Amino acid sequence: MDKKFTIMQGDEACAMGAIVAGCRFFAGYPITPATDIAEVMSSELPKVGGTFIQMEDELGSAAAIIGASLAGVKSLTATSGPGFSLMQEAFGYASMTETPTVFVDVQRGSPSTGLPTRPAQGDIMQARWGTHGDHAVIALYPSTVEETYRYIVTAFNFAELYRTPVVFLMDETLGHMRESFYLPHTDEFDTVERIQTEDLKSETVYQPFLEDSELYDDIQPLVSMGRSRFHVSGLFHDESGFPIGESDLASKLMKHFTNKIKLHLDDILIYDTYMMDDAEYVIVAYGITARSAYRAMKLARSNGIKVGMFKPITIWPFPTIPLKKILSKVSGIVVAELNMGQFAHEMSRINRNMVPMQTVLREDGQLIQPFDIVDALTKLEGESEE
Amino acid sequence: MQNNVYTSKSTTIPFSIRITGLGGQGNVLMGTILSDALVKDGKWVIQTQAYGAQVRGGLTLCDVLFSNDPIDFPKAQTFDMIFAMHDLGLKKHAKYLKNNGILFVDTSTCGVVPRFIQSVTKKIISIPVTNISEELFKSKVFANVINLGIVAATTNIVNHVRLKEAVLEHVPEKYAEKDLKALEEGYNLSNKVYSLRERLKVPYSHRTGTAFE
Repeated sequence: MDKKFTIMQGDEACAMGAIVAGCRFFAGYPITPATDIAEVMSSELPKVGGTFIQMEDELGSAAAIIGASLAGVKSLTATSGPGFSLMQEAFGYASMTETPTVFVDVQRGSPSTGLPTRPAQGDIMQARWGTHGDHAVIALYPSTVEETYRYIVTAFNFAELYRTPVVFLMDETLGHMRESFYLPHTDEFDTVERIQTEDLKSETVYQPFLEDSELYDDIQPLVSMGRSRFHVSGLFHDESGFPIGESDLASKLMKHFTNKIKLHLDDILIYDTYMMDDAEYVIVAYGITARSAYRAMKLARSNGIKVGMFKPITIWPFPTIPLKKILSKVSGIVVAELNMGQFAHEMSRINRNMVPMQTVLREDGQLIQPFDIVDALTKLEGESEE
Repeated sequence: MQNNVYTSKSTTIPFSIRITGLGGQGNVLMGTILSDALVKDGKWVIQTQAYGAQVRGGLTLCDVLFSNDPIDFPKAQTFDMIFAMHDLGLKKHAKYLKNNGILFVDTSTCGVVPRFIQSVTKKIISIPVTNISEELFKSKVFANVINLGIVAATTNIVNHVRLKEAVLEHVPEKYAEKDLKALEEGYNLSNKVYSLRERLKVPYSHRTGTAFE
């Protein structure tokens, strides 16, 4: 079957992919560079029977999608760094109440209002630790318009399966860029749907926060409100959802939050490796920087440097074990990212001085040039010869 | 599995076009139509633009990169073709023209072409596009579509029929007829035909770190 060769903007692909994933509710507040997602959603959602609301601000947007999700509709919000900061409180609430939601963060440069029309990858750590307290999170990070279209569907599936808010990180360049790609057929995608009350087994009363469910490993699927009645609270709660203050139960819940990600890592982790078969060096890059890295890899290869590439899609949880396996085989690693070294720090934690490491960092709102990465590789090569 | 960026092993440098002018002249629309037409031709395309409040005036630009292979790095530093739709754009961006590239100058809005261009390229096409648009349609806004016709005629990078289809997809219905006329007009304006450069591979001098594009 021939696929349609088409051209789409990154933001548009994100919105269209979300509709394929079954998203039928969008609440948001316009912010460059994520405005286009809201714009496309406002025209496309009504066509499929969905609802679009422009909220009064980002606090309201985040709260609205949690409410909509609990009511049984797959929901999405899209924002940029400043708005994502405002959403953190509600993000924690979604995490605590285990509500499936997807937060798109199209990153811009610098803290605060910063550089609205320039790319940066500075929200990496915010995506993981933005809200207070230990919490579960999954963050996906595409690097092309096609991947945006594909992985926003995955983001919705993860949100439903693991009952957690999912962060979908994008870059300003990716959001505003129009790129050609082969449009995947909608029937290529498997989407996870909410379980209806009549599908529930053995339990007479639906316990929304049960930790040992028979249905999907240990995660109790969310049943839409209206089909069941339960209490939702940001306080520590028992399986019925009512607040409790006992420390042993609190500890049980906290462990449940981390375990529901940790025990399903095999299903969650998505990453790509390129030309790793005979590679002596590895470039780790994600998002739009992965494209600089991919070109750098080809340039270096054509100049006789044997280099491969590791591109994580699930940036959180990070594919630590696969990268460690790669590190045990290579003799150098280059980390490239558009910030002052947020992820390089994480990399050095994984690397633990196993192999020499070079970083290519940039924070002036321009993309990393492929030659900068090649230069870092030649430096590594020089080091290993000494 | 169909082709995508990460299945391609090619190091070909994509052809690059920069369209620059004042906000409101239709620079970005021109880039959008051109990239859509190129996609219809089966080319891999990346289009980026200056993103800001330039719709109300001020220098703006739109870059279109296209290639027969998927394009990995989405930006270009030097360009095979530059459209100057305003003097400010000509003065600022002419220096990014590749050797032997093609420079289009709208002489009705641009001043003198900088002297150094003479040593960069001989392929300069100077046509008073905005004036022609005013004469024909009593409006400046068709200049960008006339430009598209000029591209199709002088470079053959894009099929004329595909370009027509793309124009019709993007312009309001009530102006469709005029736009098609503008496209035809542009198509017949210049009788120069320039061939684009050969496929370029990225040269990279190992060890010294110097690179040229």
